[in-house]
Amino acid sequence: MRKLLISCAIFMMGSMAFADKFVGPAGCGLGQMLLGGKKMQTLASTTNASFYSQFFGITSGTSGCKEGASSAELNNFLDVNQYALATEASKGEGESIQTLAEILGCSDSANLAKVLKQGYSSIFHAPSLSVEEIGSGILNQIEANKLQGECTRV
Amino acid sequence: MAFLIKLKRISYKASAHAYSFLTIFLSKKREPVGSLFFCVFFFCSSAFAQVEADQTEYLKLEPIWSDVLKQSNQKGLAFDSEWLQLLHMTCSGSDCKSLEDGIQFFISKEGRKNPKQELEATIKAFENNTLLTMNAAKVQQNARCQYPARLSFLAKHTGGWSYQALLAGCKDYQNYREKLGTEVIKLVFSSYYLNNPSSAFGHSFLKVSKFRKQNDHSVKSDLLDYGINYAAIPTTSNALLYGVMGMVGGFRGEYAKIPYYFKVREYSDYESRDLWEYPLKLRESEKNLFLEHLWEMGQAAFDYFYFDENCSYYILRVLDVAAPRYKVLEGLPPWIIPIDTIKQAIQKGMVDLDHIGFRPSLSTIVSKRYNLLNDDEKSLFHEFRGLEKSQIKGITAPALDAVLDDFDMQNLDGLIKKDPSTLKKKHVALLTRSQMESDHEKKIAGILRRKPSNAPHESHESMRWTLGYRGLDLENSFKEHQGILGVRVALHDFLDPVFGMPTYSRLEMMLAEFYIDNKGHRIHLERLRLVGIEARNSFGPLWHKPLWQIDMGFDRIRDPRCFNCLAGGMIGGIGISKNFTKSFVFQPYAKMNIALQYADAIESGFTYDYWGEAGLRVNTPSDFNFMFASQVKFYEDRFKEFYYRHLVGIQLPFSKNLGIRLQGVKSPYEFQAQAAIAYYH
Repeated sequence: MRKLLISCAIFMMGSMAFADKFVGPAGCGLGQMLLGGKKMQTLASTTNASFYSQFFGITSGTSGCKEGASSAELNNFLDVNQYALATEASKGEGESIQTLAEILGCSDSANLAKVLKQGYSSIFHAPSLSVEEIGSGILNQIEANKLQGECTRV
Repeated sequence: MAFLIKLKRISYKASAHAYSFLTIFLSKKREPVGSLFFCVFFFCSSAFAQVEADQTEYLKLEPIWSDVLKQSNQKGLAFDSEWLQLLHMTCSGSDCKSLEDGIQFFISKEGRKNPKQELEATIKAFENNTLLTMNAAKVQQNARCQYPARLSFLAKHTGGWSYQALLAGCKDYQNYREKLGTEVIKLVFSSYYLNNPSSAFGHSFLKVSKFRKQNDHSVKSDLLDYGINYAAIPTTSNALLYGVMGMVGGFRGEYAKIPYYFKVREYSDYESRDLWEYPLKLRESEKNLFLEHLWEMGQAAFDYFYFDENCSYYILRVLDVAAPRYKVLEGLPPWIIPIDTIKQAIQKGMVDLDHIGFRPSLSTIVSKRYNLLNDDEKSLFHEFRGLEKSQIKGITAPALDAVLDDFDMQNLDGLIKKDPSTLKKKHVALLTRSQMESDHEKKIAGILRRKPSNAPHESHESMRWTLGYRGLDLENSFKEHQGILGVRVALHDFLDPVFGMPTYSRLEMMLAEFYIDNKGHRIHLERLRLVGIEARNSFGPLWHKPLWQIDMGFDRIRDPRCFNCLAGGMIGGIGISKNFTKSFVFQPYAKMNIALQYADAIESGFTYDYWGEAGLRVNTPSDFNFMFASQVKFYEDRFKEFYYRHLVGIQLPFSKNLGIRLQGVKSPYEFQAQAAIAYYH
């Protein structure tokens, strides 16, 4: 049965979270997607696929992103989670740090957390940092604290 | 005949092994002697398969495709229920039709209506390693790689041959399987959030988790899991066209896989919605089939209808294909809101109720952090809130943590858009925090993540029927007793049981109330509410959101404009409200309302009225509901002719889904007293 406009709109909007997304220059620009429909921009897409399918399609890989497969995972994660990660790093504790440990193949996320807190001002040395800067800052701290042994995917 | 086929197979294998044995023997590479013997004598292929890459073609366990075709004809596999499920097809006799709309989903021309043709085309494509073009990324892929579930189906029903080896070379598919593990699949419900109308009724999706070794004693994080969503891909941003197209199936719907950390940021941080996770009881083979079929569905497209076939339905549909033993779609009402997906799965026995997970929204976390602060820290929180101060000094870690999360919540837009002043404030505060040592965070981690005592699946059922009796006395008109009948499709008002429902919200859709007069026994419409939403946000100390309300539909006007005429239109309201208790509801409120309506019976047709309303709402721990309100009503430009209208309501629960509702209305023009049974189902 076809039902009423308003109620449909209410359900519909909840599921249409990803229409017309904006892709930023860095990586996949996943972070920008959180802005949702508030930011309607034309997208530079080389295929006829919807933007949504490009990044979130079941059959898509990381083909929409410019980097190679290995760094894309880290960069996408940082792009979306950088604010939570910064907060947790300042406390030396948290879920995003555990996830980062998993991405980097670190066996003990508590050690990684300590390193991030101690090196906080070195990593997050400026209010606005790119994803690449944060990534290399973290990797530098890992090396400086001789944690590479523990983190196999660095 | 079967024996000959088997013999053929064995001899084929034997010659392949012999060939590779010979080449190994003659080539420079040497396998350890033991394994050589083992393989030759027991026809094991794997050790040899790796050695000479060129020869592996012979060692893949290729079935004999003509045999597969033959068996499928003999067994009538084209009309096997599993095959029809994979095609999303229903057949009445030999008249078949698939829900699947995308042309790319079918290999054969008539595949959408002809399961036999599709089966034969599939077998042929598998046999010939046909390259097919995938819809989305225009990438060509081997048919086998594109339809792993179909391959699995054929393997199972035509001799039980192993199909996994045939998929080993499918890079994209294997990559997908590596990312989306099958440790556990969960149904996730993101809770109601009225302050964003599109989130009002919640949302449901699936979450697929990989097996994770727990290295340290910390909680396993699930941010790298994947959320499986079904969403419409709108092709227009025009609001009206969007609404219409959505209704008539003008949009395509697609499945998507989204990194869970993204969904967490979206729901938990951005939209302040708690996430409830319901693990599903699935066998390994079912989880496997789920992922195989989801891959096939990746290039599928369906007409997206708002109601019948919306996101909730398609989530259950994939589960139904994977685990048909639960019959999860059976008995599903045509209208389905997200929480009903969860309730349906629970009712069919699919959910592991002992391991329900909970992820608090950022809003919930901020509230909890705030409530854990002592009085001094609370003052510090308010002092530093918003991080306006250039120096963060004299604040404790717990208070600062609360300020930081609150800041993130209020400024997520600014952070993502990289607004310089927002980033600067955060930067200064975090540098300060990095120099503080505190174990407070570790101590409260458990409290922050703790599940609330009432879960959304425990709420009353979505639909409500009311049956009762009332006395209606309209001044200058009539006075009589009437039977009343009401039905509401969804979901909740302030007298319905609160358990499992959002405490401060009224969310109504398609409410119709009728009365039967006791003279001519005719049925009259009392009211028709198409949609009604009211958020009675509790004001302070943390959040300062107003009360707001919007209703659309038809009501009876009972004042000098017209006595008892039906008018259609909109009602809006704004005000303030506060709950003065912690564990239950004692919530006075005050608001201003305006109604804009059209009534045939009124001379001018269009009419408006407005009123101020103050009232009290109480909900006790035993889910007894009480409300009382007084309105000062004006209509049109008759300011001097205001009048008072009082409302009272009580609902006493017999059980979660049954209660008795008593209501009364008193104004100079109307007196009503009604008693009804409320039944939720």
